[in-house]
Amino acid sequence: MTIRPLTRRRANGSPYQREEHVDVQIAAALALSPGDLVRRIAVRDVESDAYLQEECLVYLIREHHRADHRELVDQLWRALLRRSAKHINGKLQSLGRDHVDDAFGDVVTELAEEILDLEDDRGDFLQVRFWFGVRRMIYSVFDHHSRQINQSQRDLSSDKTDVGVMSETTADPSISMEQRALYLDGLNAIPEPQRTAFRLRHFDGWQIATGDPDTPCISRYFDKTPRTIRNWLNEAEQALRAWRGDTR
Amino acid sequence: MNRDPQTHEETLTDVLNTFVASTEEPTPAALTAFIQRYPQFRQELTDFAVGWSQSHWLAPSTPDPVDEGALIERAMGVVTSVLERRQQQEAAVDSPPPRLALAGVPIHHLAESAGLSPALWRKLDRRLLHSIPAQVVARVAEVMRLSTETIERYLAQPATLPANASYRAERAPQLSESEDFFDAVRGDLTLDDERRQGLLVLGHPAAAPTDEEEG
Repeated sequence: MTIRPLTRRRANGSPYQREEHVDVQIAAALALSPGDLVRRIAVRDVESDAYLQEECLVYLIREHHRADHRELVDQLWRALLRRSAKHINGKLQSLGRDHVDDAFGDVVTELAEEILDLEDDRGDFLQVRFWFGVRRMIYSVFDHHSRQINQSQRDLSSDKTDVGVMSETTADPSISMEQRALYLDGLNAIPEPQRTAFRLRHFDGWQIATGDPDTPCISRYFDKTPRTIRNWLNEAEQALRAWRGDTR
Repeated sequence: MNRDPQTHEETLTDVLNTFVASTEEPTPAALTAFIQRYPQFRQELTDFAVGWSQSHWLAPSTPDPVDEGALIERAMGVVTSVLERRQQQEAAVDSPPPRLALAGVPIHHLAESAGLSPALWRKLDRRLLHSIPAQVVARVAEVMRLSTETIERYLAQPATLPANASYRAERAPQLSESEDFFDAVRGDLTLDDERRQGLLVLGHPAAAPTDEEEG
């Protein structure tokens, strides 16, 4: 059976290409009987010659979905999710219990939509770099839910923080690895949106404000004045001090 | 879906895939480089980087033990619902339309586009014709932007009364008898000779399409 080529194109116009060994795995899998294929996809040892990569499983799901082999499609999906569900769920945990289930469902929905849409090649990337494609979905969904959380928390608190206090953190945006490790545990003690502002500033190194539209900055991201952002950072530090039991 | 390499434009999904694959972390420098490369996605890239960073740095508030089996079953439930939704959408696309009509397009425009008279189009619409040449079915399908199979399924349904028919209560409505397509063409006085001849030479429905109609 001929392996269908990918048709999605890069910016330079060249189509995506699967790794050669993925094509070899696909060819071998297509030659198997349904029973043998089910046994083959159960192999979890990545070092085994029988192991089929996730990119190969994506191709097989599309191929058997096209042929309406429902039982086999179900088995292939189970194999793919056995490898990816825990990873996806783990990456979403910091959204909190109230949101993680919905976010998990959103990522799996997007994954299924891209793989099962036979009229479109937007899922081709999943046959080239499956895990990067999954990460892209996780981060997009994470951002979406995080915004919802931020908005609901902002709605609950009035914007009363703009009192012109300069945070000490603005003078030294870089923090040591030790401080960072310490702060990591305490980040959840900071309410939103102060937590995101603090993280962007001290963990990702974003500037509070910049005149360059191509350079990301916290002020533009939140659409708030630099003064408000400084106050949020100050409040985040106060929350961290309280978390450490430091009442200074 | 193939696209012309000359006119290829990357979608946001393509750009985000490339962004994720290009860097371990969404540093300001990496983000700036992508914003400069794809200024049309400045906001989306920024939002995405924030989500990425947050997922990367924040520890779970309370790490819960994960029941992996339950997690996979939940995910399978999501996949199944996507499958069912897609099948329903595909079935809806394949269903014959309720009428041979397009919103906002007069009947005579549809008929003209298919090389038919409005009278013939109305008879097709009400499924009053039989022995319809495959070429005519193909033309109707093209005008209706549907597959020939869908139009064939439409034409195979029982005949209908006119949509705007009104009749006296004491008289049962009567459906016209099915008419041979070629008889209808011969009897259609609104067709000019050239178009009539063009339709009459189409032959029996089993006849092969002409070279011209094959395209």
